[in-house]
Amino acid sequence: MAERYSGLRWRLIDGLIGAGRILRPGRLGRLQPYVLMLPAILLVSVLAVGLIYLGWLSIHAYDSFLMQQGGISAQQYLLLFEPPSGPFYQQTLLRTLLLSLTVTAGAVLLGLPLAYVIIRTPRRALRVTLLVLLLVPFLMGEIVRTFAWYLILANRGMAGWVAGLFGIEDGGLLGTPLGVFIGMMQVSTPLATLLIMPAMRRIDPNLERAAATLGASPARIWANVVIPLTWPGIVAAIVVVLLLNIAEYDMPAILGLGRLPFVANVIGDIYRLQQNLYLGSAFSLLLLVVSTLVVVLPGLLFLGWLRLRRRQRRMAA
Amino acid sequence: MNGPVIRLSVALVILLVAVPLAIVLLASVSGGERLTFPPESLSLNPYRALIGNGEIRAALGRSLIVGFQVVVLSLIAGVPAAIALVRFRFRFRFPLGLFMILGVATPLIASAFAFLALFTWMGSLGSLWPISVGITVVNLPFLMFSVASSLFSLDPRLEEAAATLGAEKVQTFLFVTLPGIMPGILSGTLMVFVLGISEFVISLLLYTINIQTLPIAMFASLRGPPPPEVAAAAGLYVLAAVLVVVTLTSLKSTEQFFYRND
Repeated sequence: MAERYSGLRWRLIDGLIGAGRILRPGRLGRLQPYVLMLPAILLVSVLAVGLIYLGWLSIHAYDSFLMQQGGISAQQYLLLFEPPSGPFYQQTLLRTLLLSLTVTAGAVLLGLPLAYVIIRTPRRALRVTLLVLLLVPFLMGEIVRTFAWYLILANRGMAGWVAGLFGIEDGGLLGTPLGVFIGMMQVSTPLATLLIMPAMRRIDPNLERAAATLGASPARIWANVVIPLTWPGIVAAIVVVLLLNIAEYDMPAILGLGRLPFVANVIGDIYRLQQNLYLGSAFSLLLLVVSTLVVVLPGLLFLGWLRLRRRQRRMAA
Repeated sequence: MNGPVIRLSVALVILLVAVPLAIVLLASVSGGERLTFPPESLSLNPYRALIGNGEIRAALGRSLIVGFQVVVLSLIAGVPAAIALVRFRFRFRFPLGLFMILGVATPLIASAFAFLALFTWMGSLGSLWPISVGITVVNLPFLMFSVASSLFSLDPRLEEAAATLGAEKVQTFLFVTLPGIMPGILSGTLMVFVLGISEFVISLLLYTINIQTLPIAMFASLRGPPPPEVAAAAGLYVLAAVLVVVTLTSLKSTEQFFYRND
């Protein structure tokens, strides 16, 4: 051990121990965990304060011609909800929610069998390869994923080339909801899989074997054994994937060619093109509220369902 | 286990994930003036174009600085906070733990707009540190989860034994706790670094024209037919991500994190 800590390193360690003697962290007693958390609390407070400030900005009038803040008013929210501009914002919100929900559903449906294979396969090489493949899209960044799909889906892209081999002429998937959907699936499916895995890992393989011995078909085993026991993981996957997709920017901007703007694109334009922080604040908060509702609702329903089931069981017993 | 439905879905996911990786790497070594599929020839021209393009090179440098700042901030904030949340029992433990994931629970664009409004008001737009602070807040939980999961697997009795044998708090931390949670710190650091250099939405709202980071520069060039140097930059990102993921897996912490072999 001594060889690993040479000269300078030892001096540094001595310094730290000396500093510890002077500062005596033990003296803090019950405050110790709070002192340890202080830097993190300060950092996250930047976001908390920012969100509160958004609320403050969103309830003010704004003169976009003079670029001046007015008094307290509901102007920004009226812009979001009332004609002539309201329908556009609501349509954008609806499109964002519908596509995000579709992507989430697709990601969970594909993630379930994949998680199952990773957990049940006896081959370590396959498991590690799949895990590596799942983590890479998550770390390569939104813009690189979008770039990749642009190369695949564009007019003269790879998908068009492959289709051409089969004699199909198509104009590419850019600018269509399907193109945006495929692009968003690339990161959503791995994320859903990784979130489903911990819950699925706790399932005793003997349960499936028992079901099979008793004559259950694979579909029946999935419906009555695997899926019910994986619910906590499925709910976690739905929540996280949905939250990620609701804020999507690059895929609709590049793969959708701007024809299918998401809330994030519109918020970006409100700032970049109109320099209007006030309207942007209101729309950001609206998205925050809607996404919280969409995410919290299934969670509450799930908890309610669990409680109901427990009560039914108690009554049966 | 080997049903056709399962096999088909696994094949689909592999296609969905591996094809984009392959196409980026292929495009980054394509020879033509324009990116086409299949490429006319293979060469390292895109990478040469990347080195030759001063603007993209400067953007790459800025992204690396942001990544470094994010790592430093995440370590200062994340490691002690994870230790406090795992090793101490205190009154506001649960609400503070929830507070830490605020950045993940808020839609990214709303967080980015909150940073934009706040930093505009403070007059600090135009430098890189607001971008780094924003990215750190949003990605902090990843480092904390990683450190916390190694802390969970480190027997607290080891720390107690060191204390019983007369080690001071600092000594216990340096010689027992820190080496024990090093895999978690390392994998968390790698993760927040890669997430930091590739982050897009926060940078999009907080950048000014002379501090474009690499993802922003790449996005701007995707408005028209993408130039080869963008393919090279994308290739670098894919290589970095693959390198980090392979390192994480060989550190065993990924499998420990997602799949304990118990």
